[in-house]
Amino acid sequence: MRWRRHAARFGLFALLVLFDTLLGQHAVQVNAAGALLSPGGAMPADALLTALGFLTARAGWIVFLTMGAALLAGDAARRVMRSEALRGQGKR
Amino acid sequence: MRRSASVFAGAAAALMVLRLLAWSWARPAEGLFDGDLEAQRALSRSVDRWVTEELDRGDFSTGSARYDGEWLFMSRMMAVIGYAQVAAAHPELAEETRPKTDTCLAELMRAGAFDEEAWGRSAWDDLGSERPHVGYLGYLALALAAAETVHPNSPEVARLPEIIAHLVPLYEASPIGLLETYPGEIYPIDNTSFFGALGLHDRTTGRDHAAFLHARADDLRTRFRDPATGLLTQSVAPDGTAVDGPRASGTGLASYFLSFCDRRLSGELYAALQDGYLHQTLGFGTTSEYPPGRVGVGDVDSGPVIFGQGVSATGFTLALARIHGDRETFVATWATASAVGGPVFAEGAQHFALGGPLGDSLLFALATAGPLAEGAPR
Repeated sequence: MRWRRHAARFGLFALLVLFDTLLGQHAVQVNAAGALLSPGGAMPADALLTALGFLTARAGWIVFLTMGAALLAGDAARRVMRSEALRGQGKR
Repeated sequence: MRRSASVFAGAAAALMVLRLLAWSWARPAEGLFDGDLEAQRALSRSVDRWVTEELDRGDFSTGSARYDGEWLFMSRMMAVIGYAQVAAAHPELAEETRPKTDTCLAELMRAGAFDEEAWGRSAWDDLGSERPHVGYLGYLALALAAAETVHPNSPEVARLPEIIAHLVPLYEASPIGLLETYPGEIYPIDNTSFFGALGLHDRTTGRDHAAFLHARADDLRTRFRDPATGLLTQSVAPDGTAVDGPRASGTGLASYFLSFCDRRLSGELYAALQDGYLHQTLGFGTTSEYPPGRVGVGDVDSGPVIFGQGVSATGFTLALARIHGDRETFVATWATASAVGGPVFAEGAQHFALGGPLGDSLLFALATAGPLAEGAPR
């Protein structure tokens, strides 16, 4: 069951990276420039959605990557501490 | 104990991943900082696409017809400066950039509608009048002077002396040493575009406006630099009093333009920005838009201001870092531009996903800045 959960997470991460790439290319095609440069902009809806989608996908995979690394490292630290504690109990 | 060790390890891993991302996004910046031909060409090709495409004000979406016109104009102007910079750094590219430069210049000559709507008269019809049109003529002069450094025989460059003959006497007659961008609106940054143009024109043609430029630099230092921050005032009233206070976006762009005529003043403004406005977090470089204690969400000049960091100010820092030899800041700022702007590589060109014509042209000019500042008085 655990591998399925990991596979699903990896799939979601890969999907976000794919969206980042595709929406980035589409943003160049539709000239979705104003989203970042003009706070008071009046962008066409498709350009605005492309820009927001791109930023969301990008933020998403970055958060996913950092959270994944954090959870893995936290889990590894917990295991090390637990095994150390068990070893200490065994010695006693 | 076990829990706190786990939290600490998790936080350290997350920060390390972010640092690694910054490092990977910053890697191309080393080549750009060193003036690598292919790195500069990739940026140049992204602008080529917009030059071959017929753009008009409808291609911009600022919500204001005037700003749409300014953005269209700035897209072409920064493209010309970028082409001139790469041709100056790599003379073998001069012939390749010539037709694109000429195309942009021809469009710039016709792109003054935003200025004409504000003044009620065309800038060309007003040459020799008391109406300066600095928002159009100052920036146009800079594009012409930049092109003149590598393509002195470009047909449009012949109009540059007319602009100089129009603006220099108006500056000399101005009680504050600055001229209006639009009726009743004076921005020091817009004036520095003309000062930069004059510095370039002097070095290319051997003409001498050194005394004039010294006087303008003194005015900027003594009257329009905020004594507390060292930054330039963003806008002033006709009597010279500040309307909008010191800001990093205006100061950054002004410092870039002034590097063409007065590297010392440009360096002083960059030093003021280094003193509390440039930040690095986990390898990402950003620039604060406002002085400490002042809060704002940004405007058409600054772009959005997020957690106090300005999009435009951060971009302009690229040029200043390269001109003034600050590799660390250049590399860190490029990491941010890549993280947020989203570089997209296609057919040898490096676009920015959220750049569009203006963003691509700006980043092209800013990341290749330097060659035209060489030779400017220090």
